[in-house]
Amino acid sequence: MKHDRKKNLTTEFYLLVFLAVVLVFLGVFAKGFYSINNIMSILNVYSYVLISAIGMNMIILTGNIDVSTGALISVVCLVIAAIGKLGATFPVLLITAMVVGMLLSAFNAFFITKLKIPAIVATLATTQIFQGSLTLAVEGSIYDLPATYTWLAFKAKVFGIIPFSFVMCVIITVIALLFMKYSRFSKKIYAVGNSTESARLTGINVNRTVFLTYVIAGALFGVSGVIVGTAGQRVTTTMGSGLEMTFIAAVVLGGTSTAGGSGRILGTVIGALILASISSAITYLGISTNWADFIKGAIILISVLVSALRTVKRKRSIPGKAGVQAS
Amino acid sequence: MGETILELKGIVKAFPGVLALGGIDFDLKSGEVHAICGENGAGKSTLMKVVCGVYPPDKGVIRVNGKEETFANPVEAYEKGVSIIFQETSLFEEMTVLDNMFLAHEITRKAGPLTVLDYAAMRQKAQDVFRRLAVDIDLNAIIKNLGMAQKQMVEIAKALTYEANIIIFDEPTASLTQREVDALFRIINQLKADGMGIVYISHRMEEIFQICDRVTVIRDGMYISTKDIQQTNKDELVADMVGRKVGNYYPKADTQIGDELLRVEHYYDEGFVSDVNFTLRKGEILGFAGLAGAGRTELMLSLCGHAKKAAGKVVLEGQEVHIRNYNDAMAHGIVYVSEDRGKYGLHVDMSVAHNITLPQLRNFRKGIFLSSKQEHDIGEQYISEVGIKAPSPEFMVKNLSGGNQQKVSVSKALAIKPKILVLDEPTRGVDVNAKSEIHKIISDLTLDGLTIIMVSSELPELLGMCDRIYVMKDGTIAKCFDRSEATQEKILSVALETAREEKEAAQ
Repeated sequence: MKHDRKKNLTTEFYLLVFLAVVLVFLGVFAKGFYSINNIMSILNVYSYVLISAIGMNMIILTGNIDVSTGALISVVCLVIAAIGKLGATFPVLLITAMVVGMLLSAFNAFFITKLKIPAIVATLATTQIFQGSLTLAVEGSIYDLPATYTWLAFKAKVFGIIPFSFVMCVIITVIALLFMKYSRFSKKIYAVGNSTESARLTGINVNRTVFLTYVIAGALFGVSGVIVGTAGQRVTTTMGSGLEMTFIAAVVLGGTSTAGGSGRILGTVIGALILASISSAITYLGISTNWADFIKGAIILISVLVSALRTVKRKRSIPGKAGVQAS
Repeated sequence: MGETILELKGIVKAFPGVLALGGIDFDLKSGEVHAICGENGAGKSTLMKVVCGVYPPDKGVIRVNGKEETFANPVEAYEKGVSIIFQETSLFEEMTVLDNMFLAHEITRKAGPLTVLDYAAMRQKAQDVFRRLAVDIDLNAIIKNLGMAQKQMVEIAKALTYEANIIIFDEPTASLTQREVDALFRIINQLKADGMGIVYISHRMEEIFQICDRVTVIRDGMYISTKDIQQTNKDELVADMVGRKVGNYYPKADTQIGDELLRVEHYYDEGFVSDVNFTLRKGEILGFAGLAGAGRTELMLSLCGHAKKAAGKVVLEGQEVHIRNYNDAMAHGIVYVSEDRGKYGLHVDMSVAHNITLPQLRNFRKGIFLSSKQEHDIGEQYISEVGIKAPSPEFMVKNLSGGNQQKVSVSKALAIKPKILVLDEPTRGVDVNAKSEIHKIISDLTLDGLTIIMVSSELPELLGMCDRIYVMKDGTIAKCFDRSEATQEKILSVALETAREEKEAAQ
């Protein structure tokens, strides 16, 4: 029985161990990493990374992907900056951002479901469209934004210290965890990711499931967009550039299969925390920040390799039957 | 036995170019197990896919529990009480047992304004079903970690969560061990006692006699007979399955059979074939018969170097050879022509000549460039020799008919100048005329000194063409027949008998 239990240790468990080791290591070697200011700044980054990564996780679970998220967030940032300049308050900014996110993500989903364009190709194309339309619409940047606009970044602190973005992130994560456990829709997401053909034979409307998943993810990207976009008084056309890679990395690091159909939100929660702390950890360790991307890449490669090796081993050791008697 | 719960009348289903079902009648009563049997490709599985809504029928009436129904997908069929356990299970591999059992018909409850999944109720119901089946499977287990037998139990349990009263089993024992088969039969008998109707598709005779009440035979998509199991026997069923086809003409040439050319001893390939021994003599046409999945194709692919883990002794012209990849096989003069020419045999978007020269481009060049003249010439040569009906060697293969594509496939192999030509289902999907042309070509080739191995599921073809026929079963050779003694009935009855005990022992 002991042997069986060992086999059932999840990806999440290994990630948690890895995270704990890294955190202890940083406590010893990185002076200042655990200062209140730095922790709060990491929590802010963590918030927008995790909120988007949850959306990305759902998309990847259906067996699709979205590489346009960075550009999508850039669009969201500029739209809210434009209305923020006119004095719009936070609730208006948030709702606008979510609606814009949903619309743009629905645009992606339209090409994927209705026109049957592979997700990677469709979203690669829309990346260019989103980014391209920004440079057409805006000359450089929108600046001198009022204090109502930057409220989230500078004023909204719980107990005067914890960023409100983190509270939003916690609320969204809890809802997502419950949704993925207790909604019928979540089962459809997994079923589609496992096999679109079997899902169709089971009576699941595959296109509708994928479309709705993108729309939900779009709303989450919008929320991230608000956090990213309201961080300062100037908003450029490239606020979100490259962020999609961090989101996808958090999802993959969290143990979600890029083939779709398997993976949990809990893994993404941990994966996102690891990725959100890397840049800051590197700074405090005194390593050049130029190494940040390199180290992110290495961590992802290693984690994917390790999990691949674990599955290979598992397949060899139980050829089919033994797994059932466990439990 | 009770009232009729499933009735099919005149079911017709055609696929492009093939009439899969030509008017099938069938009925099932509550509390009976009704077998449907027939040869490979007789239309058994197609019929059941029509019944449960995977394919819509072109014509015919389906009556379930007294009402006429048309199902758009298996879920609608499930909801009306018809469920099917597919040969390849259709479970979701990465999901849990519980999720699979209730997918798309989850039990929910109200939590304030929201409708949420009621795991407690689903667990309860799943446990009830498991208790009824007397099986014990962890509801949280991930499907991919289960064995075939457990997967099948989950499928059966899933059917019972729908309150189905008709269950269709499509070749359920194909990948089970004897112990697992016994467990399955116990469950089937219990379902039967509960008053359910069971359709049992199989071509394993002894299983049919063991658990079925009636048996319906279909052949080439046509209804042949329905019999009470007590009033029939194996020979009668085999005769019905085979039919008495007469008038097939096979142009077998009178060739001189020479000495032993190839000897295979104790050949083994993990998971596919084990302990295969056979010999091949120069100039003969050697047939391989067997049911789908008996390991014929796998054996041939393995001999031609398409398998990494093969072991055993292969002796060619008195010398032991080691074939590690297909290039080795070609170098030794062994060439394989695939059963699926569209997928593995040909590049249909390329011309006839380019297809023929592809395996040996180095022989068709001038300096460092390919010589299109040489390619053209060899294309011309085979178009006339093999009789490919193509206007020129530059003609696209995809625009040729099935029979002519097959001739290109054979030409491609012949251009390598083989000693042994392995033909896997050489006449699958070609029309009658092209078929006899291909038979003629095969026969003529032996006159030129070529030796041929022919794998085929069409017994008349093997009987007409081959000098000797090996019958394969469960990955090994069951028997060898000489041309003079082989009959369809003999071959089928060897192929149909199972080697369960051996399989069990091997585990």
